[in-house]
Amino acid sequence: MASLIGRYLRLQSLLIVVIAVVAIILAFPLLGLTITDVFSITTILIVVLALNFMAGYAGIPNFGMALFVYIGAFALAGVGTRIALALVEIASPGFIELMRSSYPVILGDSGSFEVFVRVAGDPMVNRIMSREVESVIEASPILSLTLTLAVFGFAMIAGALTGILASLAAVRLREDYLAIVLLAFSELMVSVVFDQTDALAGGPNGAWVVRPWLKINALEGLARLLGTIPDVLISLAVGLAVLAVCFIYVERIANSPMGRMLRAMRDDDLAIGVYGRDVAMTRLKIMAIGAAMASIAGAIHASVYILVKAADTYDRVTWTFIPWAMMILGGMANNWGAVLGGIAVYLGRKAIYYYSPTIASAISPILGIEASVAGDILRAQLPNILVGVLIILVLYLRPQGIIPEKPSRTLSKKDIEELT
Amino acid sequence: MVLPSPEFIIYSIAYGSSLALLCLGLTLTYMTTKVPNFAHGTLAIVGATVTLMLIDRVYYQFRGDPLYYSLYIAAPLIAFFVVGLVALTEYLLVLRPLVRKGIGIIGLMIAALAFDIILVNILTMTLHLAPSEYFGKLIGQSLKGFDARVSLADITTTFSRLAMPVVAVILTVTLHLFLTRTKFGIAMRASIENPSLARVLGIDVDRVYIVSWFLAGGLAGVAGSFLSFIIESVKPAAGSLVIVSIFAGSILGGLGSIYGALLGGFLVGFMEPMATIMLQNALSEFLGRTVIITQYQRLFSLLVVIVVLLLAPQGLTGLNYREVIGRVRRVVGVG
Repeated sequence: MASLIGRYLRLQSLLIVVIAVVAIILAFPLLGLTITDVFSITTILIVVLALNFMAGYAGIPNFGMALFVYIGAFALAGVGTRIALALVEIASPGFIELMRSSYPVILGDSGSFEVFVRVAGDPMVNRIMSREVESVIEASPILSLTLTLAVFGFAMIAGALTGILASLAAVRLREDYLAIVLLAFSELMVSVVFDQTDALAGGPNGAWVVRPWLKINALEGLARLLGTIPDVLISLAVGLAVLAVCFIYVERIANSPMGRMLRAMRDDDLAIGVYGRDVAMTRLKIMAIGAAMASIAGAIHASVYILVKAADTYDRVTWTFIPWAMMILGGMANNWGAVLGGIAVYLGRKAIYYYSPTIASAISPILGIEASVAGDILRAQLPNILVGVLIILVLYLRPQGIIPEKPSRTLSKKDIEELT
Repeated sequence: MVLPSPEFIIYSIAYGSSLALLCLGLTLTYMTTKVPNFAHGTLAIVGATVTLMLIDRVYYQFRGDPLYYSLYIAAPLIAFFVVGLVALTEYLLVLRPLVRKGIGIIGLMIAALAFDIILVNILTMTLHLAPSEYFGKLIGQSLKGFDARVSLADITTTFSRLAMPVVAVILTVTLHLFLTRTKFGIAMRASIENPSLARVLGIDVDRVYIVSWFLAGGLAGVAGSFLSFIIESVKPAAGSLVIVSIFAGSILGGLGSIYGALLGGFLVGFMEPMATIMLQNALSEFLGRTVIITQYQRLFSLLVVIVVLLLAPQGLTGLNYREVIGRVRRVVGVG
C-alpha cells in the first residue's frame, strides 16, 4: 500500500512537472521569449545538472565551471574547424589548394600546416574558410556525422581531462582550497591562456564555428514557423536529448549506493575515508564526469553562435555564478530543483532585462543622464546584482532551496525480502 | 642571465609590496571567519576607483601645484576608510548572518562570491554613470600618466612606486606594534588563535572580527590606491585576475599567519613580473628572435598555487625546516 502511494505521488509530481513545462513553453510567445531562449535554457540546465552532480551530491565546490563549458566551445571552434578542414581535404583532395588559389591575398603561399593553424587562429582566414568548409560538410551525411562524433568525443575527453587536471592539486585538501584552485585555474585558463593565444581559437578576436549539422530542407518550414533557422532546431534537439540523458544519468547515480556514498563524502569526508573509501579518487572521478557533461553543454551552446570568444562569451558570471544561483535557488542535491531553479532564474533575468528601459526612464531624471544610456547600463548590470542578492537571501531564508533534498530512494521492503 | 633594468626591479618591488598588503588582509579575514574572501581582489579595485575619482575631482584645480602631491596621502587615506567600510558591509550584512545561521563553508564561499559579483556590477554602474569633471567618462581610464616622475641618478621612476614599499613597511610595523603592544591587539591574537577560550576570558570576539574585517578592507584600499597608478586601466573586472595572485601569496604564506602572508605576498608579487621578464629574455636569446610572454604573467601565480598545494599545503610558515633540510641532504647525498 505504502509503495503504491509512493508510486502515485511520484507519478503526480511527474505530471506537475510535465504540465509546468508545457505551460512555460506555451507562455513563451506571451513573454516575448523565442526558440533561442528555449535553447539557452536547455544548455544552461545541462551545466546546472553537472554542477549539482559535483557540488550538490559530491560536495565539490566547483567555482570553475566556465572553463569546462569553454573547453566544449573550444572543441567546436578551435579543434572542430580543423578536423572539418581535414575531413574535407580527405573527401575531396585538393581542397586546400583550391582555397589557396581562390584567396591568394589572405592565404598566399601558406604551407598546409600553416593553413591548419590559421583556419581557426587567424580571424580573416577563419571567417572565409569556415563558411567554405561548412558548405561542404552540410551537404554530406557521412562528413557531418563524422565531424559531430569527433567534436563531441573531443569535448567529452578534453573536458574530463581538464576536470582532473584542474582539481589535482587540491583534491586531497579541504573544500576551500579546492574552491580556490578551481576558481584560479578556470579564470587564468579562460582569460589568459585561451584569450591571449591567437593560435588556439583566435584569441581575443574569437573564432567562427563550423556547424557540424547536415542541411535538412524539410526543417525549413518548421523553422520559419518558429522564427529561427534549421541549424538552431538541430542544436536544440541535440541539446534536449543530451539534457534528458544527463538528467537520467545523474538521477540514477544519486539513487544508487554510489549516490549515498557521495552524500556521505560531502557531509563528512573523514568518516567515509575511515570506512575505506578513497575520497581523493572519488572526487577526481566526479570532476571528470561533471566536467565532461559541462563540456558537451559548451559544445552544443557554441554550435548556434557565429563567433565564439573565450573571455567575452565564457565569463565566470554567466557560466559559473548563474548556474550556482540556479542550483541554490532550486535546492542542492535535487535534480528537479536544479531544473526548476534554472528556469526560474533564467526567466527572472529575462524579465529584468525586459523592464530595464522602464526603470531607467524613471530614474534617469534623478541622476541627470539620458534614459537610453541608463537603460543599457541597467540592462547589463542589474540582473547580475539581483542574482547576487538572491543567492544571499536564499542562503539566509531557505538554505535548502525551493525543493529540499530528499533521502535517496532505496529498494522497497518487499523487494529486499524477495532478495534475501 | 641578464638582470632586468633597475626601473623594472623598482616596479616589481612596488607590486610585491602592494600584494603583501592584500595577502595580509585576506589572511586576516581567513583566520577570523575561516572563509576565503573571493571579493578581496575587487576590494583593491574599489580603492583604485576611489583614487581615480579623487584625481578626476582635483586635477583641474591643482595641476602643477605642489599641493597636488598631498594626493599621495589623501587618496590612500580615503581609500582606507571607504574600502574598510565596504569590507565591513560584506562581513556584517552577508557573512555574519550566514555564519550565525550555521551555513556550511560552501554556502559561505558562494555568498562571498555573490558579494564580489554585486560589487563588480555596482562599480561598473558607478564608473559609467558618475559625473566626471576631468576625464569626461570614468570607465576604462588609465592613471599611469598622473603619477609624478622621479629621477635618481640615471634611473627614472615614479613617485608611487617609491612610496609603495615605504608605506607597506610603515603599515606592517604599525600593525605589529598594535598586535603585540596594545591590549586590543593581544585580545585580537587570542581570539584568532582560540575563539572559545578568548570568549571565556571576557574578550568581545565579535568586535575583534569586525575590526579585522575593517583592517583587511582598509589595507586592500591602500594597496589598490597605489596599484591604480601601475595597472593599465581602472576597470572593475581586473579584480578577478588580481585575486589569483592574492590567493597565491596567501597560500604560499600558509593562510594561517599574517607574517607568512606578508612574505608570501611580497615573494609572489616581486617574482611574478621578474620571473616573466627573465624567462622572456632567456627565451628571446635562445630562439634568436623577440618573444613576448608578458601577457601570460599571471600564470606564475597559478603555478605557485599548484606547486605549493602539491608539495607543502601548509605553506612557508607551516614547514618543518629541519625536516626539509634533512630530506634535501638525503636526496643530495651529503651527511
